[in-house]
Amino acid sequence: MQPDKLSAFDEIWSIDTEYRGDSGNPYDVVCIAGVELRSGRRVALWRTELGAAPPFRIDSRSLIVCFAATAELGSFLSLDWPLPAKLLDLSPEYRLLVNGRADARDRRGLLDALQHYGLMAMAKGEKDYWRDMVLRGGPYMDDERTGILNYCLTDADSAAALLSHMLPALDLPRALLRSEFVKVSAIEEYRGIPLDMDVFGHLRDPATWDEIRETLIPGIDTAFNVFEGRVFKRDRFERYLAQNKVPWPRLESGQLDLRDKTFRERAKAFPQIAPLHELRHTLSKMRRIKIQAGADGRARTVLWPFASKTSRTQPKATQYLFGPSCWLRSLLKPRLGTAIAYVDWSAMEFGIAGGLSNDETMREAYDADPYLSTAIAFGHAPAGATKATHGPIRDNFKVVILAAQYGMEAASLAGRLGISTIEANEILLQHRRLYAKYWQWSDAWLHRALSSGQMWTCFGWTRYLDQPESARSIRNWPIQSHGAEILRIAVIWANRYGLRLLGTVHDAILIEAPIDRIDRDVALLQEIMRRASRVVLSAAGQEFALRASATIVRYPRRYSDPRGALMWRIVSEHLATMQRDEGERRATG
Amino acid sequence: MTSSEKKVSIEDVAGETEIDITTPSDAQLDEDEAMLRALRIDLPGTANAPSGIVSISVTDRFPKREFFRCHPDTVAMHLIDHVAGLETEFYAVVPAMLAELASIGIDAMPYKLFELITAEGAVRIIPCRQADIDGSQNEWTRTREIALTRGHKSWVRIISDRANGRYRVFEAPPNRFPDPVFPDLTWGQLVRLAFKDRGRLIDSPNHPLFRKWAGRDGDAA
Repeated sequence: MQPDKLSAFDEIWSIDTEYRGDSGNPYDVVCIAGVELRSGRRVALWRTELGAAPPFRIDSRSLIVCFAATAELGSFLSLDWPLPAKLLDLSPEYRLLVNGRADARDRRGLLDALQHYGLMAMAKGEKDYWRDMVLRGGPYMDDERTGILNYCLTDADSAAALLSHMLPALDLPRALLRSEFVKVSAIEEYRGIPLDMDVFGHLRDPATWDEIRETLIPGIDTAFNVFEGRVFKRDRFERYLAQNKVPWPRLESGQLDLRDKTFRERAKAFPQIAPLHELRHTLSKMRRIKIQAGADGRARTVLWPFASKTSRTQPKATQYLFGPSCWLRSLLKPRLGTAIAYVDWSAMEFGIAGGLSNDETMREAYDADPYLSTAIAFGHAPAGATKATHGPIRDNFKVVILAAQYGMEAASLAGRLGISTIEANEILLQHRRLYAKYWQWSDAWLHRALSSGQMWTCFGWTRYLDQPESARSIRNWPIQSHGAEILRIAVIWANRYGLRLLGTVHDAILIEAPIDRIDRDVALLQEIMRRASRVVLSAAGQEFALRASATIVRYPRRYSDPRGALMWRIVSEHLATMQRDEGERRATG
Repeated sequence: MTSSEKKVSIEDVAGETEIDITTPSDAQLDEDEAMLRALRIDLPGTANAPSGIVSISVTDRFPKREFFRCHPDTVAMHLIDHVAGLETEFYAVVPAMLAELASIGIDAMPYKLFELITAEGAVRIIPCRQADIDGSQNEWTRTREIALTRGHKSWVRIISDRANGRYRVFEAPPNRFPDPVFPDLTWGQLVRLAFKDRGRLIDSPNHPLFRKWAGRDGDAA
């Protein structure tokens, strides 16, 4: 153990908990164990022995160490214990250490970390045995109880051993900041998101959901006429695209590219496609509604902070209310007397590019309207054009800006915009000319990443390039990973001031507050978000900040995403019909 | 402020319990921001990275069929043009070596160096031979300098007018291109990248080219 790095702490506790967590309810804690690294004290307590506070110090002179701490903190919250003031989660630190390493792909669990350092670890089979026993639930025999406690203690020992090996490479100030984000993630997981249980109760019933799915195709397809029964017909879709002048990318074979991500991207430029995207996604990916709600009517799922290579939080798409099916977001409904706000940074990726590269033209465009400013500069819209007067061109330039920023080829851009390759090439060249400083920076980033084999953010998140990655991916990485840094800082900061955070969605933060306080809380969050972006994007005397806009939903209204509005209407209407029929059946006996 | 000093109570999940949130003052937020900024580690390549240019070419060839601009700052140097294969290489000469070179019959000529950037962002240095001591200047050279100087303020393209033995200069229509963004490099850095780092700065009699011209390239260094 390196005393200098951890000298600020009187005690260092490596802890682990065992719990049962399912069905969207807070954790049912089974036991907790801890090992104090300086004194060697050991604690292992069964749930019946747990008091009103943790059996170890959690003040700012005591460091609590875990691996994947949302589980331990979720247990604290379920027990109504205060959270530790100083937390060190080794899971993101290990991920950081092996992010992109050839031998560590998808091997990011505690056992993988122990193996990485050549440490003794419990055999996977044995670990599964005890975990299954915990999940099975009680009552437990005495020897089972002793076994579970020993298993819990073994994991606490493992995290302690891991700390000793990771400490020399550990960047403690930044690691503690990352762990604070894990702490807020655990709070968000515990709080959950309030659902309209009247509707959700029906949707999660498999028979009702199957019936609703059957009504979706006729409901949506009226505007498209691309289905034959339950089958999506490619030739009909091609006809629809031609009639409505919607350009669509094709595969090398010449066939229309019908991948989900293509639909998602096209729906941004052509919002009329969004209902069809929602429908296709719902039919193919949602045979069952997998969102889980607790007895209190709040949706909960593991958020998986730091799961992506850029360090973004990555909950399972089908289990998170803010997954790809936008219509499901209408389930979000504030409780009586409360309001929900969805606060997101405007044009975040463009702004980050301008901030990191210090490209003054980009920064000025960001401060106006990046999409229209670029369209005007390229001669595609007149000076003075607005969102109202040139909406479609603005939508197209959203695609142009992101495509150009990450080095999309002219042929691909041509397919997306329905223009010739020569025209697309000219647009890409115009982007290089207008945002020349960004390109100098991006070229330098690419060069540095390829020559050094790694890239990093200003808060130390690192990606190694042991395996080949495309130039587009490398150029995109700093934008996404610095976006993740900005989000983390804002979330940590907002939590410190007591804002009631419910979750994050890529470039947005969701909060809840009493109706009479929501405006004030949103104003504070927007200020924190602006400042958080300034912390990450300002350097060497160059100040730059991103702005954030808010959508506030007050009880009794519900949240609605325009992309999923039609689907939601069809689902609601069908449910209303079902309920009316059911009522009539009952009335007639 | 730490989370322990201002602990957020995790109220009942249905939200009945009111938390008292005091809106922080700007001064408090400034203090928080300063603390967070102090945690930044500005490793190279994260923000405001340098241009990434590690080498720069010196050539007497203009970009073909491309518009370009020239940086308003120029620099005067003595150069020697040395034909190597099909290419002309330019060697810069420090003033102290001019007399030594002249003593072995090699004349370094006065040039004005222009930093040129094309509309696609390619950067290079174009040397322009200056008039002789009697003021005489080849018409090609004279019109080259006119073209490069016009590039200070406008996007221009150059075409060889062989029939008349001079260059012709065409300006791009107004607003055809945005203002150029030159790499953030001083002339001192440019000269280092273009000459010194590439072994093309003759700054002592031990320079390989000097030794070759002096017939001493067989000597032990």
